[in-house]
Amino acid sequence: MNHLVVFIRYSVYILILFALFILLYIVLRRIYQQVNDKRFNLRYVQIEEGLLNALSTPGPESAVRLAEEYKRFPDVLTKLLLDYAKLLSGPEREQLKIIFRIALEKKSLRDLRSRRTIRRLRATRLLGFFIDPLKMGSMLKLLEDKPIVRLAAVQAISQLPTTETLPLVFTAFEADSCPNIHSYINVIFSLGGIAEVYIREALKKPISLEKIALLIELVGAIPLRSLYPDILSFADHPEKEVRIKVARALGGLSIPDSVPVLIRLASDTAWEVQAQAVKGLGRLKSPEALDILTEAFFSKNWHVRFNARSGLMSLGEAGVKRLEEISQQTRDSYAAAMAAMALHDLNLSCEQMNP
Amino acid sequence: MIGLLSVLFHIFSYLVLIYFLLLNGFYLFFIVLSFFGISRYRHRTEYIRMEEIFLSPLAKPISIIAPAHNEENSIVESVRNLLSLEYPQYEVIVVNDGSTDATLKKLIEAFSLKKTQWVFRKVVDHKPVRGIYVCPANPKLIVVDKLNGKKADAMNAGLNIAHYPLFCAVDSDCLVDRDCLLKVVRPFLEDPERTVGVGGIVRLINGCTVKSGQIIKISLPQNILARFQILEYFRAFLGGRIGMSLIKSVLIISGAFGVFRKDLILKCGGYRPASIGEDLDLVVRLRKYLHDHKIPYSIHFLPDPICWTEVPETLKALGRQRNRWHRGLIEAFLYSRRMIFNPRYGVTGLFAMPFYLVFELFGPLIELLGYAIFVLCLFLNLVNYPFAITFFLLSVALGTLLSVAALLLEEFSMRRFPRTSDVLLMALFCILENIFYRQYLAVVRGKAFIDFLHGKKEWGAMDKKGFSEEIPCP
Amino acid sequence: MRIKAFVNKKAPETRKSDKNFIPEPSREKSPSPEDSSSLMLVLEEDAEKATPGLEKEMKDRLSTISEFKLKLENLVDSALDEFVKVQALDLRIATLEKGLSRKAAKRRQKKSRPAPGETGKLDGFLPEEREKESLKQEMECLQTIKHLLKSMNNLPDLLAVASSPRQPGAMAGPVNGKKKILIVEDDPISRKLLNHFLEKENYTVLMAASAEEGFQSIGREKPDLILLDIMLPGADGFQFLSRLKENEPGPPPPVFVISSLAQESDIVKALQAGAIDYILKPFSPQVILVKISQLFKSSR
Repeated sequence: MNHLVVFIRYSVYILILFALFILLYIVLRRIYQQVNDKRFNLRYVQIEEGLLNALSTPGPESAVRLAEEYKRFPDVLTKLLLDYAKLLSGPEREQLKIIFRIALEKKSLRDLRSRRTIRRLRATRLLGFFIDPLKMGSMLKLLEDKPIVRLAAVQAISQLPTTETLPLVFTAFEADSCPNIHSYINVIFSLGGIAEVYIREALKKPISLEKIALLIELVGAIPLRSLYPDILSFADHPEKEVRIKVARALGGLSIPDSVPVLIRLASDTAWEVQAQAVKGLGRLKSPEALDILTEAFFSKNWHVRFNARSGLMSLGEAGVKRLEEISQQTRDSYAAAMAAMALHDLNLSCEQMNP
Repeated sequence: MIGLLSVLFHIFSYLVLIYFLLLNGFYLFFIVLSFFGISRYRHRTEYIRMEEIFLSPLAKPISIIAPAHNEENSIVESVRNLLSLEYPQYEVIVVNDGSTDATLKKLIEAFSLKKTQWVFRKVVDHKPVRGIYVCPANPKLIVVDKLNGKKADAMNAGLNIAHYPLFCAVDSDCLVDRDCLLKVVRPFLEDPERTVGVGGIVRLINGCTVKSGQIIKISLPQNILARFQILEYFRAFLGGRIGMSLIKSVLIISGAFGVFRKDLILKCGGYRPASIGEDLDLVVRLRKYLHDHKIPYSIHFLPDPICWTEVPETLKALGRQRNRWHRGLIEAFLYSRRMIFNPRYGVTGLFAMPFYLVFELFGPLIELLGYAIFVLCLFLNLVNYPFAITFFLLSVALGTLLSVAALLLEEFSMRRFPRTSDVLLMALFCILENIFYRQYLAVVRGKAFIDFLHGKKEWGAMDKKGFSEEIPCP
Repeated sequence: MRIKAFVNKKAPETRKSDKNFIPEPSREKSPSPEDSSSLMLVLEEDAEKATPGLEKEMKDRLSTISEFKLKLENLVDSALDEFVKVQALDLRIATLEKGLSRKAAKRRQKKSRPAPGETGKLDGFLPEEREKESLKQEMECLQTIKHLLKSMNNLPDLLAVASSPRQPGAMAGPVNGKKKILIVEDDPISRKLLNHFLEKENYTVLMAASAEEGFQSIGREKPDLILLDIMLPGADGFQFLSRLKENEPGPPPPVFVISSLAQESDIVKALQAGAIDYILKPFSPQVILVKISQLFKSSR
């Protein structure tokens, strides 16, 4: 027992020392950070004023002068450029590019090869705003990096969509593993119409179902109406998930010719597909869909009924008439109650618009 | 006889020592894990722009469900705060759980609510709904008025009415950051198939200055109990839950703020009205359901403060709260006892639940037993004073180290105390916490066993101050 | 050049006038003290009530103003001479531009990939272009004089233009000091950016970080234009717009929405709610300034 007591006593000393050491570290770190932050903030304010003056002065001289004067403060410049780059376009963004090229480009290109993830990430973010198309090659290696860096590289590459860089984005998408592909959504979405050709090609390739589903969903979200025939071919896909996305995308594309396809999908075996198809029909505001929407009101599935309700509510007078009929029938009290709810909501929104 | 007792007490002393070392060893291990978790999270988010999530075309809409009971002082402000979150598409469902004060009236007046004739599908059961109100000027807001049935019941009503695939359970008296939904939905966007629930760090609003529904200044509360609780929350959230989430052992996502997939929660029966700690019970049953149906899943815990809650500042209110929490823990474990040590439930059954059982559930009992035996030994003159004193010092030192390590984690976290003097003061409280506060909590939680056996069900109210414009440090 | 010297002489007194300038106290919403004719009116009104001690001061001020007027008349005379040069300069710049484009075409044909690591090279800033820039600056200066000549009758405006804190070579704009622009934006960097550019153009800038603060500002200051963000704490930009339409007794001030929401539905919603323009982020401040000046020109 005595040995144990002695052991515990020494353990207590070590623990107290360790706790004091941590406390000291916290205090010193805070002091260091406070001093650093103060210095950083002062410099930031100082350089920011110069930056704003440079941005509002025509000609590159002020930007060049600023870059030369402050290139020994890369951290502050990085933060400033990142803060302002996301706000500015046009000639002011070009001024920022000049500052980046003089003061930060070399360091950023070096940091792309750094072993520290945070440095590679920061460099990728900066280069995403200001990259020179001729130096795009150095970004390509990052496409084999960790997922977070890879995604930042893809985003950076997509800022300069050219015939050389866009295929890289899609190649990375096709090669990446499934948990990461959802991160490409914003990238491909931001490309907009430019992505059309590549999405069309990717849909023809033997990629995983998840990726196909994602691409189809993006077609509807962007929207890319010219890809309508390409996604139509997936309307009869054996996988439910793909058919759900097709129904959703068709609703997003809002092409009148897709009404017969949506009507077909509204009788799909899977309720999820039915619900999306009914929602799409409601968005299209097609009179042909009136009967389908009315029928969907009596569906076994609540989601289908709910979407049918929204659909009929948006079909104007004809929709209101059907809602009134449904609210008065007695064979399905739930449908009647739901129709009454829809009519009441329509009244409320009318009151709100015309008080 | 005395000799036998002495031997027994010796054995017991060793057992308590081993228990104590194991407990603190695990906590230290979780703190180390948390350190890595926080660093990794900071690296990931430092250069990620929240507006990218906001502008994402496939960002999932969220239904925020906020049950409220007798909160006329703060409900309007809380709801305004919830309505001004940064998120592309969401709705706020306030469930008035049979309030006897003017909660509903204040809501109707403040938001010009109109009663609707909504029908909804009753997937999970709850007490009857008296009316559903919408705000024509702001379609995001829905208010459900129902008969009183406690929080779990109110959440079920919200679940039935919610329209969107994700739902967020919040306490209506909590303040949430404006970008909390953007932060918390990221795991759902990155891994939509597997992510089923996400929680975040809950911080204390006591002592902070609030303006326009946002925290503008973080400072230490004046109240001593609140200061002890800050340390506890740091240890529990920063130290405990982040580390446990890295080894897939999170059993609680705080009812103050948590986002889940609605379809799965409905499939496992929603919230259980009989449960006292509905947040713990929900996550345990969710894990059970997913394991039973062999659905791969992940529950995430973000090292990011997203919710600010008010903690009790009187011993009585604190005691009631901890009593309820412990009764909730006992009840949930009793209900899901089949999962304990059951390899079918993976890490949850083999590690998380046994850990909670031994160290959280029975922890107070073992501690109280230790004190009782010490007192008995004093009477019987069997105390080995060097051992007792050293052991006491060891417990204080370990407790202090854990708290100081949690303070270190707070240093690396997103929103921390701005003043260094606050940190030094908290260090002092790290030591003081072990002298009285821990013992008080052990007594309160030990009493929870007795109360549970007596079938005590009530919640106990807490006097809430509420938060409104520019509350200075109390 | 004499004219430049004149302009620069005034500049030190009124540099960054909007930030540090403290207007002299006056009874009502009086114009700035540089506005000498208004000053004269004020002085004349006060003359009847002024004590003998003040008479001397008034006489001094009147003599200063007459000197000022004489200087300006001299300026106008010399400006007439310089004005003739403007036309010749125009021709010269046009010739230079043609030459430059020819050279650029030749350069493009010959140009090979630059060596790696070649940074800091400012493509396109060759000697001809530098000359072109300086000529442009000179032309802009002369155009300032052209404006002066055109608005000879309006002495207060002339004084405001002559003494405005312009960078050498900047275009002289309209009299902007009286126009109030309210920025309703919660992002401090966006606010700073817009504030800087607007103040440079001599607008009076008001700032609000939320819809509520914006309304308080509107009630107090009655801005001439509002630059509005959609994502605001509390009420969002759409709610601000609808409330603005309802609350204002007269016609509400025009609103430019500046937002990162790029969906068609958001743009349509904002325009239907009453915004007269929708500017997407990221934006070019110069474009916004041009839009603002066009708006004020058309409203005059």
